[in-house]
Amino acid sequence: MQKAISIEGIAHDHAGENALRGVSFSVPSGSLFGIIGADGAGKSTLFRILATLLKPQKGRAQVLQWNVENEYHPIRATIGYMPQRFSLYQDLTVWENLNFAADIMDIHKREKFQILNELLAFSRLSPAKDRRTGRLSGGMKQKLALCCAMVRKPKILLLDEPTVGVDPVTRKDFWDMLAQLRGQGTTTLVSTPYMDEAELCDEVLLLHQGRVVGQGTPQTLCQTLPGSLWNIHGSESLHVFAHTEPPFPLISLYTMGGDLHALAPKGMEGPQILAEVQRVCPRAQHILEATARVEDVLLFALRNGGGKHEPHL
Amino acid sequence: MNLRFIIAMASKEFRHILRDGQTLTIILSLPVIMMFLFGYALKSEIDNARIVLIDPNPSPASERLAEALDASRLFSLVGVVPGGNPQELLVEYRASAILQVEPGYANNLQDPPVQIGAWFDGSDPATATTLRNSLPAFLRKHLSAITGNKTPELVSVNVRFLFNPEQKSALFFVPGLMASILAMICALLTSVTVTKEKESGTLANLRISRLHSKEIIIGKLLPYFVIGSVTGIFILAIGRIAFNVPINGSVGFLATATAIYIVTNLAIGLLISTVVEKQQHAMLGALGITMMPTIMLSGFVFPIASLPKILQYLSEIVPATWYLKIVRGVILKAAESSTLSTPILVLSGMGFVLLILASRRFAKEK
Repeated sequence: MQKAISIEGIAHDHAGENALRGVSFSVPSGSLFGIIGADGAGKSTLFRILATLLKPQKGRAQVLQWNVENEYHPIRATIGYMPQRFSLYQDLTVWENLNFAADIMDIHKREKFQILNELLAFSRLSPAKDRRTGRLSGGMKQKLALCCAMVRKPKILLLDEPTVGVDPVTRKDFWDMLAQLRGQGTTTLVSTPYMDEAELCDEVLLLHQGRVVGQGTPQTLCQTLPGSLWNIHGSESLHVFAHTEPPFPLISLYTMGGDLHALAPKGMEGPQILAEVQRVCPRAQHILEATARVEDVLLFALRNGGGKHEPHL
Repeated sequence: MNLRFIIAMASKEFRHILRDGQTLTIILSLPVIMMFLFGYALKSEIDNARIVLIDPNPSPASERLAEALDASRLFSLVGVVPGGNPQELLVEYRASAILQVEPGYANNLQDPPVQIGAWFDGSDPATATTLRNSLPAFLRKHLSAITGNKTPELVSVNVRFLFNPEQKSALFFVPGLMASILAMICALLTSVTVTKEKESGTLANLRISRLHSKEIIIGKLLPYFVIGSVTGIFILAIGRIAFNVPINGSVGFLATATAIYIVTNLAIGLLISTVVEKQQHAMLGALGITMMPTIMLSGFVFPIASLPKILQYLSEIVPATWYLKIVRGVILKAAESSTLSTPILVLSGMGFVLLILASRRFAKEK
C-alpha cells in the first residue's frame, strides 16, 4: 500500500521534554492511524515535525514524496494540522475563524462559501455560526478546529490530541467525523491518551518516552500478549503498586480502574490465578477471563520493557 | 506579495481590536488623560501662588507693592505681617513664598538699592523654581514702574525662555507626549498582539498557511499604524483646542516624520515579540525599551545637556530624541524642513534598520 507518511529514526530532544528517541514507522495512505501514549511520550513533538514546524535533529521524515526538512512548502500545502492546544481566535466568531482559515489558505471566494457551509454542516456547528469561539464548549471548539484544519481539503490530517478535555458524547461525534473522512480517502494521523479511542483506529503506534513500544492494528496488537488475560474484582477497589513484582507464575499484574488485570500463562486456571493474586492483594474476590485491549498491550510493554526496547510483536 | 492575504490579515486584526472594547478605550483615552494630566495637574506655570509679605514698617509704597502682588494673576497675597520667622510663616499660611521688605523700604525706593528678601517653599520644587524665576522679574517691573527708570538691584537669576516667553508648559508637553504616547501605543500593542498569537498557538497556523512572513507582518501592523496615526492627530487636536498649541510649521512634514516614527516603534514592538514568548514579558519589554527612554532620555522631561555623558550618548540611539527635535521644530519654531534634515534622516535610518532586523528575525522564527 502507498505510504502517506514515513518516518525513519527520528530523534529530537529539547531539554528532555517530550523527546523522541529514534522513532520509525509509516502510515498507509487513506488510513486512520493513531499515536497512543501518555503525556510526555513525544506525540506533540512528532506532530510538530510532520507539520514542518520543527526540524528533527536526527532521522528522516517524509510526507507523501516530500522531506519535512527542506520541502516544507508542498507539505504545508497538503496537510491540515490541528495543534494540541486550542489555537483559534477566541474573540472571533465561528464563521470568522473559518473564514480567516480559508483566506490564509488561499481558498478562492467562489468556492469558499460552499466549503465553509459544508464544513459547518459536517460538524453540525451551523447553529453556532455567529457565536464567539471563546464561548463554545470544549467539544465544539475542537470540532471547529478540525474544520479549520480541513478548509483546504487536505490529503493528510494531523490531529494532535483532538479529544482531550472533550465530553464523551462529543468525543463520539468527533470520531464519527474522522470515520467519515476515512471513507473519503483522507489519511488521518491522530494522537490520543485515551485507550478506548485506540480501538477506533485502523492501526496504532504505541509511544512511550520517545520510543515505539508497539505497532499494529488494535486486533493484532492484542493478540501479541503472551498468555491469557484475567480480570480480578473485589468488593472494594483493588490496587497493586506499580513496582509490585507479580507472584511467580503470573506474567504481569496491574491495576485497571478499580480492578486488577493479571496476565497468566495459557492453561492456568482461574481459581489458581486468584489464589496467587490474593497473596499480594488479599481483598481480591472474583476472577473472570478478560478480552485484551490496547491498554493492556501498552501496560504490558511498559512493564516488560520499561520502554527501553521494542518488544517483539 | 499578495494583497488579498494582507487584507485578510489586517481585517482580522481590526476585528480583534474593535472587539476588545477595554483595550480600545484605554488606547483612545490614554492621550486625553495624559494631555489633561500634563496640562493641568503637572503644569509648571503658576497660578495664584500663595505669598506672604513681611512689612515691618507699613508705608503707602509697601501697600502699593502688596496691592500689585494681589492684583497679579500669578500670585495671591494671603497675608501681610509685621515680622516673623519665614519658615514658620510658610507653614502657617500654607504659602509658596515669603517676601520681606526692609523697614526703610519707602526711603530706599528714592535711594536704591532696594533689598527684598524672598524665601520659597522648597518642598514643591516645581513651583519654587518657577517662582524663583518669575518673582524677581515681577518685582523689578513693579519697582521700575513706581520709581521711574531706576532698576533696583535684586539678587535673582534671570532665566529667559526662547519661543515660549510665557513659559507655557503646553508647548513643552505636547511634543513630548506625542513622542511618548506614540512610542508606547505602537511598540506595546504590536509586541503584545504578536506574542499573543505565539502564546495561543495561532502563529503556528499562520506559519503553515500560504502567507509569506512579509504579508503577516504588514497585515498585522497595518491596523496599529492606523491607530498610531489617529492617536497622533488626536493629540495635536487636543493640544490645539484645549491648550492652544498651534502647528506653526509644515503639517505635511510633521505627518511624514510621524509616520516614520510610528513605523519605527512598530518595528521595535515586532522585534520585542521575536525575543520574548509571553505577553507579560512583551509588555514589560516594550515599556522598558520605549516608554522609559522616551520620557527620561529624549529630552522630554530632562534636558539632554543636563544628563550624564553616558546617558547623553544613549539618548542619541533613542528614536524619540530625534522625533522630538522634529516635532518641537515644526510645532514651536515653524522650522524649515531643511533644518530638520538630520533628525529625519537619522529617524528614517533607525526605522529602516529596525524594520529589516525585526522582519528577518520574525521570518527566521517562521
